[in-house]
Amino acid sequence: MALVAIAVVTVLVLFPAGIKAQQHARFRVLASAKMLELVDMFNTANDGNPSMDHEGMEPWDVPMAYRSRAFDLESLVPSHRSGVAPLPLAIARRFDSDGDEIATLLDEGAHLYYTLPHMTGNFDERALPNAPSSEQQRLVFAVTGYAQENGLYSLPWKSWPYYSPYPSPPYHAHHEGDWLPAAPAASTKFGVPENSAIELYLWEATQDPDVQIVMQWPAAPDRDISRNYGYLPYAYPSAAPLAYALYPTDAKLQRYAPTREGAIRYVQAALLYCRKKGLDASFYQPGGILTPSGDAAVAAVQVRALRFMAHAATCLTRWYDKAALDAGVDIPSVTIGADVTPAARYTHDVIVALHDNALRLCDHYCASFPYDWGGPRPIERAIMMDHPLIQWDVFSTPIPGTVFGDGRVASQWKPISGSPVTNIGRSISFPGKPLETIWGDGDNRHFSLAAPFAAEERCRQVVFWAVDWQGYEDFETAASAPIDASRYLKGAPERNADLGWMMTNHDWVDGEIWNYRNPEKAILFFDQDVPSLPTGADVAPWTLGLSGYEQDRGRGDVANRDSPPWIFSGLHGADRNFNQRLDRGPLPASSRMRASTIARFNYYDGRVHQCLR
Amino acid sequence: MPALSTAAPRRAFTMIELLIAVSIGTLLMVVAFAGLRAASSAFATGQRLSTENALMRAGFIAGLDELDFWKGCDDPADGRVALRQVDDSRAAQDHPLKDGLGQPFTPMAEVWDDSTELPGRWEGDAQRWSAHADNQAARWRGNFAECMDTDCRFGRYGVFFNQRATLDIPAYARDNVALPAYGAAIAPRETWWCGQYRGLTSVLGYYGLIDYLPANAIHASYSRFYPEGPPAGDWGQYVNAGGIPVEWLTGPWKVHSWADSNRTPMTRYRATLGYAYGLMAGPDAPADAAALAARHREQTTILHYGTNGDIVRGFIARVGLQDRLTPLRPSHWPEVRTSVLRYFSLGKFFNLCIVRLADPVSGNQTQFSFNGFGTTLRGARQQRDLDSYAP
Repeated sequence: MALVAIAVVTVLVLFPAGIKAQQHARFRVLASAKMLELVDMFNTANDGNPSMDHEGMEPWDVPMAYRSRAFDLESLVPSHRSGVAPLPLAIARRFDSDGDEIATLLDEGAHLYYTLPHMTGNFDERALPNAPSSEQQRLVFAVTGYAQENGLYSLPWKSWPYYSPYPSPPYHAHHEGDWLPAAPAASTKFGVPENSAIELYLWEATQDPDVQIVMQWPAAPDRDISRNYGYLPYAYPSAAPLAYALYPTDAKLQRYAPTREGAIRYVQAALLYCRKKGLDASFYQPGGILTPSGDAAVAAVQVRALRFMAHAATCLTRWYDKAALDAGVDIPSVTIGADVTPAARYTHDVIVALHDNALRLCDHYCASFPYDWGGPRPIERAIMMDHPLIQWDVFSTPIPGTVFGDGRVASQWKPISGSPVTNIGRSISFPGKPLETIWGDGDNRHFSLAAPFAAEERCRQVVFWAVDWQGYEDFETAASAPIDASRYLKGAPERNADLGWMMTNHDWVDGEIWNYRNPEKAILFFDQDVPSLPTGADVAPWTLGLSGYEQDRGRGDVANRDSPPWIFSGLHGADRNFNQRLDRGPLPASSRMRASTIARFNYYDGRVHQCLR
Repeated sequence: MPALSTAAPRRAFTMIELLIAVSIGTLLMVVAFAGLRAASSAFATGQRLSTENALMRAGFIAGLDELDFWKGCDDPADGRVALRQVDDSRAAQDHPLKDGLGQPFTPMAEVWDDSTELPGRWEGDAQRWSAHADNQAARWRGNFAECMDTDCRFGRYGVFFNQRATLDIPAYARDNVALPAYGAAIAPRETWWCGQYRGLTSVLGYYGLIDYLPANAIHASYSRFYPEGPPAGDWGQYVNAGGIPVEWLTGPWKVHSWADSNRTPMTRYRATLGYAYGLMAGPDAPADAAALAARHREQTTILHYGTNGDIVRGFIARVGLQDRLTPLRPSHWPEVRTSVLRYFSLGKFFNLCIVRLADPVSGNQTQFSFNGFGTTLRGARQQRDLDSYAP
C-alpha cells in the first residue's frame, strides 16, 4: 500500500514537473528568437525618423535630445514597427517574480515589454491578416542594468551634418521667412513664378556673405536680366521678382529658359568669388590635381569655391559642344560692383579637372575635419566622419529658458564635443540665432565618448519571464503603460504659433517616424466606449492602426475622453492579441500571477547611434 | 465411538471484513489506475510537448540555418538552381552584358564579362570600393539634382560619369526643349562605378544590387542618350536627356512624387520609403527565367501609399521561401513549416523567419516569427564561388 501510495504521489508530482520543464523549454526557444529580433532591430533598423523637425532655437524645442532618441534598446526598439510595446503598468504590477525583480525594475522606472501580435516586417497593419495565436505573447521581458550616457544623435540647434550635392550652387532652401537674420538682403528671399507664397532663402550667405555674388548679383535684381550675375539669373531668369522654376520643361515657364550669356555671367560670378577668396588660376582653371590643404579654415573655403566653380563651368557644356570647348571658350573679365572678375579660358579638359578637384578636395576636407562645419557634406558620399562625437556635458550649468509657445520653464545641459567645433555658423531653420555660445565650459575631461572603458560598462541584460497575462479580465481594456512625452512628434517653433499649433500642424508620415507615437499605436482603441463593449465585440472599426487616420495627433480637450491626448496615451486599451475582437480573460484584476524566469541575454550597449549595413 | 469434540472455531473473514478488503483493494486499484491514467496523460502531454518543442527548435534552427547558408534559395547538390537562371531573351538585342539578365544566384561570369563596351568585370575587392578620398573611381559623380525631364541647364554630367567607354551626345528637341549636340567619341572621365552598377543590376536584380553596393550609394547611373529612343540593337535602355536611364527615375525606383518632372536620383532609403524589393524565392516562383528576372526587378508597396491586403499578402507569398521540415512525419505528429522572407524596405534588410506549427490531433495552429542576422547575399554567393571568373 505504501509502495502504491509512493508511486502515485511520485507520478502526480513528477509528471507535472516534467510538463513544466517542457513548457520552459518552449519558452526558451521563443525567448531566443525574440532576443535575436531585438538585437536585429536595435542595430540594423534605420532610425533616421526624417519626417520630423530636427532643429529648434532651444534644445527642448524638438525631440532630438530627449529620451525617445536615446541610443538604448528600450528607447528605440519599442515601436509599432519593431514589434515591441510596454505592457500596461496596471498588469505588470500584478506579477511576482524571483527576488521581486519585476517589481524592483518597475519601481526604478523601467517597463515590462511584450511582443506585439504582428510580424515585425514593416508591413501595413491594415493589410495583415488576423494574427494566429502565438505563445510569444506570453513572454514578457525587461532590460536590466543602467543605460550609459549616449552620444547625441543630432545637435538640436543645428542638425549637422548638412548635406549638399557636389558640385552645386549656393545652399538655399525653402523658408517661409520666420526667424531670418535681421534685414536680409532682398534676394536672399525669393519666390516661385506665379506662386510667390513659396519662399526660398540663401542660407549659405550666413556663413560667408560673398556667397551672395554667386547666387545673385546685384542683391536687389536689376530688371535688365543681362545686368544680373550668378546662379539664379542664369538658371531661372524670370522678370523681377526673381523666381525659381520647379518645372523646367513646362511650356509656360519656357519664357524663363536659361541662355548661354546667362551661363557665362554665372561663371563670371563664380570666378569673382574665387578671386575674393584669394584663389588663383590654378584653382579656377586647374591643369591637374590640386593638393588638399591641411588647414581646416583654408580647406573649407577652397572646397566651397570649387563647388561653385565646377557647377558654373559645367553649365557651359549645355551651350558649347566639345569641339568648341576643346578650342577654348574665353570668359572675359567684367566688373561686378566694385570688383573685376578674372578672365579665364575653359576647355573640356579644364571643366573635367574642375569637377575632379571639386570632388576630391571636398572628400578630403570632410574626412579630415569632422569638427569643422564650414561646408556641407557631399550627399553622394555620406560617411561615418560626417557625424562628430557630441554628448551632453552633465557637469555643466544647464541652459535656462522657456518652452516656446507655452512659457513653461525648461533647462538643458550644454553640449560638449570631442574637439571644438569650428565654423559652426547658423542653422538653416533659425539662422537668426548665434550658436557659438551653446557649448559647455570647455573642460574636456567631461567628454567621455572616446574614453577607455571596461567591458562590463557596456553590458546590459534582457530578462525574459513567462506569464499568462492575457488571462486577466482587463488585458485589452487596461490603459497603455505611461509614455515618455517626447514620443509625441511636436513641430518646431513657428512665428506666432502656440503650443497647440505646433502639436497639430505637423505632418506625421508614419513610415518615417519609427520612434514616435504610442508603441501600441497599431492596435490602440480610439473610442472611449470600447472598454464597455461586450466580450467578443468587433473592435476593428475602433482600432487606430486599421483606421488609417491619426486620431492620436493634436492637443485636444482633455475633458473629452475621445480627444487625442487620451488616444495617444492609450487610455482606452488596445487589441493586444489583434484578433479584432474585444477579449477578457477569466482572472479578476485583483489576483496575482507568478512570472517564471525563462532566460537572460547579455548584449552590447553602444553609446553612439549606429546602423549596421 | 469417539467422543464428540467441539472443534475449535475456524478463522475466516467475515463478510464485513471481506467487503472492507474488497473496497480497499478496489480503491487502491482505482487510485492506481487513476494514477496510471494521470501518469499516462501527463506522459503523453509531456511527450507531445517534447515533440512539439523539438519541432519548434527544428523550425527555429532551420530558419537560422537558412539565414546563414541560403540553401533553400540555392543548392546545386539538391538540384535547386532556379535562381541561377539567365533570361537570354535580350541576347538578340546586343545586350552590352554578355548574355541577358540574371538572378540573385547567377554566376557573374555567365552574364557579365569584359568583352563588350561595358568596361570591366565585377570587382568586389574592398580596396576598389574604399571610401578613401583618393579613391575617386568608387565615387558617385553624377548630378544629384538631375530630374527626369531635364533640359541639361546644369550641363552634361554624363561626360564625367558613364557606363560607356565612349559616348556620343547628339542633339535633342522635344517638349519645348532644344538641346544642341555635344559631340561624338567622347571618353567619359570615370566609367568604373557606372559599369559596376549596371552590371550588378543586370546580373542580380535590385535586391542583389542593394546587397552588393555600399550603404551610402546613390541609385542612378549614366548611359548613352538616344533622342528617339534606343535602337533595337542597343540594349533597349531609355535614357533621359542628361544621360540617366529612366528606370532609375520613373521606373520601379520612382519616388512617390507629386511632380513627375521632380524625380531625381536617390538614396536607398528614399527609394524604399514604403516600398520593398525582395528575393523572390516563394513557392510560386515562375519557372520561366524571363518572368523570374522581371520579379527580381520589381517594386512592391507594402506600407501605406495605396497598398492593400492583396498586395502585401501577394508579396509575402512571392518572397516567402517555405520549407516543410517533416514531410514524412507520422500522421498524428504536428507539422512544422519554416518560411524565410528576405527583402529590403525603408533602408533595412529584413530577414524574417516564420515558424508555423499545426497539430492534426487538436487542430491548433501556432506560430512565432523573428528577424535575425545572417549571411549577406554576397557572402552566400562567395561561399558558392559565383563571383569569380575563370582564369
